[in-house]
Amino acid sequence: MIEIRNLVKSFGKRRVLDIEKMVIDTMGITAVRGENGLGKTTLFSLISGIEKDFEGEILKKGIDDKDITFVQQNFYLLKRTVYENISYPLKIRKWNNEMIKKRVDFLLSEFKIEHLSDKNASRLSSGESQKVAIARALSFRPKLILLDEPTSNLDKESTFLAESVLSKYTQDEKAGIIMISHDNEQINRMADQTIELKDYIKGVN
Amino acid sequence: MDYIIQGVYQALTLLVKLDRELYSIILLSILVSLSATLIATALFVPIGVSVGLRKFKRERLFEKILFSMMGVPSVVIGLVVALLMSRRSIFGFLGLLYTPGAMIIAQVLLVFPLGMGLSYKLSKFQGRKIKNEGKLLGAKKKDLLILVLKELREELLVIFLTCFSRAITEVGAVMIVGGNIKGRTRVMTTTISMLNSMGEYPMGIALGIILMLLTFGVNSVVYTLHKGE
Repeated sequence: MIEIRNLVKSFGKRRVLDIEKMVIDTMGITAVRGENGLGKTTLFSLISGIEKDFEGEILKKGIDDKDITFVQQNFYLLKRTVYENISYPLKIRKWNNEMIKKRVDFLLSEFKIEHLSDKNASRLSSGESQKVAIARALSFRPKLILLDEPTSNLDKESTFLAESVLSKYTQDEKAGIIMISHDNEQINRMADQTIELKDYIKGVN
Repeated sequence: MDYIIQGVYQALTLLVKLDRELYSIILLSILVSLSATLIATALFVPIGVSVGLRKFKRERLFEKILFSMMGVPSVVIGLVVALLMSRRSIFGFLGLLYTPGAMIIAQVLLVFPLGMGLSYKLSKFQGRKIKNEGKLLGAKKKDLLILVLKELREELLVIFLTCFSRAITEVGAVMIVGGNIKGRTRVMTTTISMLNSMGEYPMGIALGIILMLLTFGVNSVVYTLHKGE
């Protein structure tokens, strides 16, 4: 569970996020909805820990920072092959080669991108890149995955595939997903609960 | 017009006949500029990249100063180094003035701000993104710097080549601190400048051709690397 208390984030003099209290369940899939510019991405950056400069408290109960990952909307793929991209988090965790291969092959097959394994990530289409970014995030079995519009570059078929892989992941690994989505149908298909961010932002209501 | 055609013909003859004086000038130019660029790179890559990865107070002021330093005229650098190295000055005891050593120092000071500014900017915009992604994937502090350097290696090579190009084509600093002494500190740019004022064109044209080939070569590598990104 993530508990947020008196959270204020400013860029210079501009206050971009102001939440008095908010609780997010970290089991199952939670969708976060809100208009552009409301601070959804900023909130995810703060929860993931890549943005540390803020006032207030973000309490992550029963979940360690190293078990959280975040697939940003403008994610970065390493200038390496798809295989090397997905295996990177495992290599730095000192997994042995056999385990790495097993895990990467599994994810490549889950996302139906086995044929891209040896391709350099810089040569991928935006949809292929998005699948690789999600597969890479799942590789080290994080307990909480934050996703910022995870299927924005995918066609319908790939969107359904990604949704099913992600839903299966939360069940198999007893993990949670918090995702930003503007697609109501997707939220209906995937989310166990939905958060309307504007209900928590001070001064919006 | 005839003297230009004749100059080009004689220049090509010097090049083909492997004229000793001509090639010793070319070799010294490459040696001085390459050493200076390598030393500067060893300094600006770690400093520029690590500073670029951090957010800090007065970032804008720092950038203003750094980017202004990138355009410091080479003659000013030459003058400062010459003043510091002259016999009566603090580094006079080293006896470096009018030696290739002083020329290397001057070129290090000339290209360091350029390389530092470019690698800082690269690191600030690209490096921070890579660092964040690395953090999200679980990379520790030491893994992060390696990751950023590995991911930016092509861009850093482009910066290295840009600095080398700047160093080998400059004339002001090496002229002041080297003195253009025959057989000791004479490099391509200072020789071209001297020969032009003497009205002796063949060797000047030959050196001009080599200098052009070198800069074209470096720039085409830079262009190819940029295109490949």
